[in-house]
Amino acid sequence: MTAPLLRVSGLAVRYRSRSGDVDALHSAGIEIAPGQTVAVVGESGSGKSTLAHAVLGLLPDAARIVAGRIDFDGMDLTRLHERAFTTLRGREIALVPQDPGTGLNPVQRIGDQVAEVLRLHDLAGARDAAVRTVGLLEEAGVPEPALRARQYPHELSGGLRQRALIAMALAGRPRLVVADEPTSALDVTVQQHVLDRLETLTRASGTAVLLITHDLAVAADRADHIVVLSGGRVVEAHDRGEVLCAPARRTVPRRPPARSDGDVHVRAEALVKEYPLPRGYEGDQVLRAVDDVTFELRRGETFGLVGESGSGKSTIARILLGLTPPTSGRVLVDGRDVAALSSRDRRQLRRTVQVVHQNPYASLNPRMDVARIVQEPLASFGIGTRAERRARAAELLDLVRLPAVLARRRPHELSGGQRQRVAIARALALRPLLLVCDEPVSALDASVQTQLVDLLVDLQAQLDVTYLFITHDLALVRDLAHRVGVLERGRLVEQGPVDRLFADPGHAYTRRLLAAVPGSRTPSAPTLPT
Amino acid sequence: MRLVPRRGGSAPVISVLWLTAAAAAALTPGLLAPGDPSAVEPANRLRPPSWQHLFGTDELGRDLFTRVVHGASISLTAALVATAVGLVLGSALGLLAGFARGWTDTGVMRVVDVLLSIPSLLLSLALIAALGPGVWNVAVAVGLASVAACARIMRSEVLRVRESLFVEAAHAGGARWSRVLLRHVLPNATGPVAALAALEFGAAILAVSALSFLGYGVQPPDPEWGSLVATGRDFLREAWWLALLPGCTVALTVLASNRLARAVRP
Repeated sequence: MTAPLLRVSGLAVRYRSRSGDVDALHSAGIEIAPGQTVAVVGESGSGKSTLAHAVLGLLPDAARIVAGRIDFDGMDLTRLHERAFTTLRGREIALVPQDPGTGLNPVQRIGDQVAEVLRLHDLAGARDAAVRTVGLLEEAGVPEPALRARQYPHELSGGLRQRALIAMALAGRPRLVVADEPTSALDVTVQQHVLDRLETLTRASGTAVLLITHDLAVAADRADHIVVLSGGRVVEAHDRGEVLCAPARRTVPRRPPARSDGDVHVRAEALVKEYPLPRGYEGDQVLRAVDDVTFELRRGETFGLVGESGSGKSTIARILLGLTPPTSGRVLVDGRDVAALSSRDRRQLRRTVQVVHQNPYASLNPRMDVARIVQEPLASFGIGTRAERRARAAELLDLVRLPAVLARRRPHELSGGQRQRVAIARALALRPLLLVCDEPVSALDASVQTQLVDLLVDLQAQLDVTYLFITHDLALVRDLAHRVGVLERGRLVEQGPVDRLFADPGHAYTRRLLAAVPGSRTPSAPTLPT
Repeated sequence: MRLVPRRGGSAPVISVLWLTAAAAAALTPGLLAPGDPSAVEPANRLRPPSWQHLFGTDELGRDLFTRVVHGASISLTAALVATAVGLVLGSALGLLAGFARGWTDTGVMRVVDVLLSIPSLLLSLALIAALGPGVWNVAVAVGLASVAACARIMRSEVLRVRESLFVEAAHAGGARWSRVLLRHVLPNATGPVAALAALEFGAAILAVSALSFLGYGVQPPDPEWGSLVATGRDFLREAWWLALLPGCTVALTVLASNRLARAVRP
């Protein structure tokens, strides 16, 4: 084996905070050979971002390297002066940041930002830089690069922005690229394109990649070597192809057996939702967020609604919840048209349809404690006395397996998984018949996701509640849905029983979605619960 | 909201101590200065500050420190009333505008814009001209002049909070609009308004003192900080302390409440 390009050994990083010191890394070590791709995998708080920042010399002021060294090409980066680091960053070690939304300066043209990298390192003069920028964007897979170079970040989609960031990172022909969750904000099909492009480019130029990700499947697909971090320590290290995913793999789906006796509970008929676009944008145009969508939910089953961002899946949820009216079409609950109900009847209907939102950090009122949050729907409908409501809240917390001591806590004192359990308890307070779960676990770590999915499945068996499960994650749908609908730009292109849809997808878009799921390259791990 | 200072430092602590002393002076002036603020002692007129008379004496030989301490009650109460008037009316308007939106919003906010376009002291003077002089009229006038700022902050906070996911969750949970407004939107919108209130309190002390200085507030011989400065102005040459020390008291109190406003920022 050749001498490593980067060797991190015994690295320990400590954060100072008012509540005491926190060790983010304890003697972490990795090695990357020239041209090699090494993935660092871990959940939030595992120290993977701290490791990336340490390599780039971009640790925040509160962090201090207390032990260990980072050798890059014979230099110890932990001792390197900030000024020397500046010449190294971008030229030798480059970063592809996590969030394409904020990684670019919004008031500068894309081309100028890529050219700046070339100019800063004296790799090109002003005129030459502009020409080379277009070439770099083209290499990074940006279509019509000359046009895109003149545009501003807000005019580009997330996938294109991430490609522009890759162009920036590779502009200085670095020997090491640190990619910090480069695609976690993107849809699966876009993620696949971006990662493919990054892989092609770095393999062609012999650039080494330090890939930081929370997604084991992405790591298994892309990396030559995988390092698993947990609690600031390296807990596992594997070469490509080793069966590291085996223990996490589930062979049996978690959903309860499909029911044939369920009668139709909710029926959405030819739903259309249009939003007017800003005036002057080629006349009075409308955006069809939902386009002629029809589906049925049978009692006690889980209907998975799959789609990428912008496919209209959240709009459908809002229509079913009665938070926004459809432009045309109707929703029938137990055979009654929701739109035809009086406002009082519609409010009563709310009791039967409840929601669990995607973001547990925003969906709980920060000024209320857990017990009051869970009681709130009961209080809204004036159900029971104060004491009865309190008893019911305790019962609900028990149902979602939260310890009773949490009842007096405020949301900010809870973890993401605990918050989502509180949101589920609140949604169940009125004993609803239908629970709309809008990406309920996508903001959470993989292991917490698994626990919550288990909880949802158990609750369904216990309470005979129907789920409309909205997600972008096919693996999750396969795990717990009975039937699936696939949305593409507002249209329901395909729906059917989950096994049939996965085994024999009828629509081209469904096939594309299935092919883009990370983990599909590694035969040993086709169904990771990511 | 947190009452702990952002970074270490004693400024907020000193501010709290100073405001506590000022509040004590307002509530029980006899404790800090047992004398009679109106006791005339012609033999001791215009004496400079000394251990006997901490702030010196005025043109009638009255102890200035006693008068400043006793003046706190009128100055601070008037400022408190002014802040309360501005806060309650402004918050109500902002809440209405932000929650109702549409024409109500447009109507309320255009009135607020008009109010904001008039300098607040001028507005207070115009209101006093209509209401007539007197401490409480001064307080109400100062309060009305600060309604606009409160309404704006409240409206922007309500607009932010009402888009929150937990508000949507409350709607989905079947809460009526009044419940959403009072239990979910209002408690989460008050933080910045509370910080503004502390700031407005400082400004109100200043405005009340300024209007008293101009002679619209208390009538002699009752002591009030602004009118003390006004009387002292006639003796600036021979007795600097008469204007300067009450003036410093006003300045420090305003400074302390502004510093505290920074500390309570959510």
